Amino acid sequence: MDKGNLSYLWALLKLNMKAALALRAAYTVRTVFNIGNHAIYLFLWVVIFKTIPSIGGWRMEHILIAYGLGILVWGLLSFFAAGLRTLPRQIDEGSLDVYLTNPRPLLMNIALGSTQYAGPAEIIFGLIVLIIAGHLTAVSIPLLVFLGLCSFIVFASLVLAYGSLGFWLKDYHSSAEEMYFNFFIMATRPEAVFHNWMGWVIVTIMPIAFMTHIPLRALIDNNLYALGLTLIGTTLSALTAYTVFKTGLKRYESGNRFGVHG
Amino acid sequence: MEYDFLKKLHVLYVFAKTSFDDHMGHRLRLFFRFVMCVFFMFVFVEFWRLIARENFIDLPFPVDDVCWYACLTQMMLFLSPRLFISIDQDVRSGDISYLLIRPISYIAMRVSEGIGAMSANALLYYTAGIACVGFYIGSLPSTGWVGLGTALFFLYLGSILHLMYQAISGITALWLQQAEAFYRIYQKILIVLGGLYMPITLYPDWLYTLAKFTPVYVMMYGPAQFVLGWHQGDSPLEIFALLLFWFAITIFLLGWFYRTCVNRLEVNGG
Repeated sequence: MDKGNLSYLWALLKLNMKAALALRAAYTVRTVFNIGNHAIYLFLWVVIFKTIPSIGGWRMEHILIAYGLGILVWGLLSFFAAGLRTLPRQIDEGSLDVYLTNPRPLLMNIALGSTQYAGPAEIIFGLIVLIIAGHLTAVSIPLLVFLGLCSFIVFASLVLAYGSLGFWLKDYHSSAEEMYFNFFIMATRPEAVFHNWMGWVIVTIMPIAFMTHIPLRALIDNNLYALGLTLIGTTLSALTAYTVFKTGLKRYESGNRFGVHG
Repeated sequence: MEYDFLKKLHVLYVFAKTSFDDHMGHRLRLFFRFVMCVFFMFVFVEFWRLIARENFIDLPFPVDDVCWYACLTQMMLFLSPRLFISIDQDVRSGDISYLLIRPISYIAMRVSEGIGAMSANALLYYTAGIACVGFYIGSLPSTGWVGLGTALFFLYLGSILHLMYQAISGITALWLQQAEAFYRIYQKILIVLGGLYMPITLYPDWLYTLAKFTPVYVMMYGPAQFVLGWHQGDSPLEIFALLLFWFAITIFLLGWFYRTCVNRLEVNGG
């Protein structure tokens, strides 16, 4: 990325931060709601593990790491790349036209074109959960940061790939949003639940295993094989998502707002 | 006056019917969402089979029944469209100002549309969805077709109630500029107290009692418990009475909250 693009990226980030802080009271209320939302979900797992001590070898600390990673990447995506989440809507509304005429990288423009105000709170909450989990399991912090980054790339790729289906599916936005949320939820379920054919699903068409399950093995068991798998999975997810997006974009470029969906 | 009421009811029916047709028209989207739902239901089946295999707890129900229960609660989440997003969009785009001046209640219109879309979903999920679950689990719940039918009937009614709470969440966009924050809280309460992951009878007593006194009880656990055995919980009549009670409370709450937010919008502007 050249210097011009970097300063453009920084300007977009600053703009997003300003937008987030413009309506402070509403922002505070939404932040409290978002933290409450995640806290309730974690509480559910506390209840589950009080009833069932272990699920497929996973205990509370495994869930804490998986959920911490999940919230962290959800927050990062919401704040730094919320435009990927709204891609199907942008396709439907023909809003990509604006970016197509812009000399800056298209994906960067789309990703940073909008922001979700909940992002920073979710990032902080995710980090707090990870710190608690890290304390419980004594995992390597640099490895945790690195795997957090991999998780973010995998999740962003998933969102980009499935969001790009909006090039083919009309009025797909709300279904896509639901799917992203379900990916996040699925990624926080114990790995052993996905056995047989499901194990293949979560490493191929829905690669959530590379978001939490496999990184978690690398973190807790210091498993080098799992670390290698995470790296391969992350790279493949990113490449596949970019290919799907590019293919869809060709379809978009050859149409217009009324004709894209045929 | 009665004629006027019936006329309005007919208009709402037309909205629901239009939404039903529109929803059925988007076959690819419908199919895609259905596939996701089926996958998540299968994940739940495996979740409970794993718990049963590991034998850490003595399940008070046959494992197949719990699998059916988990599939139905998961199905309930997929059954209703995301109404709060439509309302959120109307608020953010400013379209709500055009919709408010129509001679029909905006919120009643949106809920009717939601019921229409939900009915289209129900048609698919109650046939193909149930067939997929039955095939995957390999047996019917111990209460048989009667238990399953009762559960599906009450799940449909519970989902209408869920739509109303989605509408309440959507209206919060007039106050918070975004409906998602409130909806997510509500959704998590539904997931926890409704018993999405496990029947709430397995919860600690205090949490079970708390769940029983919330509307989410009749949206999720109340209907789905009919596949767990007839002697486990409430009778159909009790669930029906509870549903009526919560409908009355929710309609009042929705009306009051809607009027308050619209008044605020009219006084302060959007």
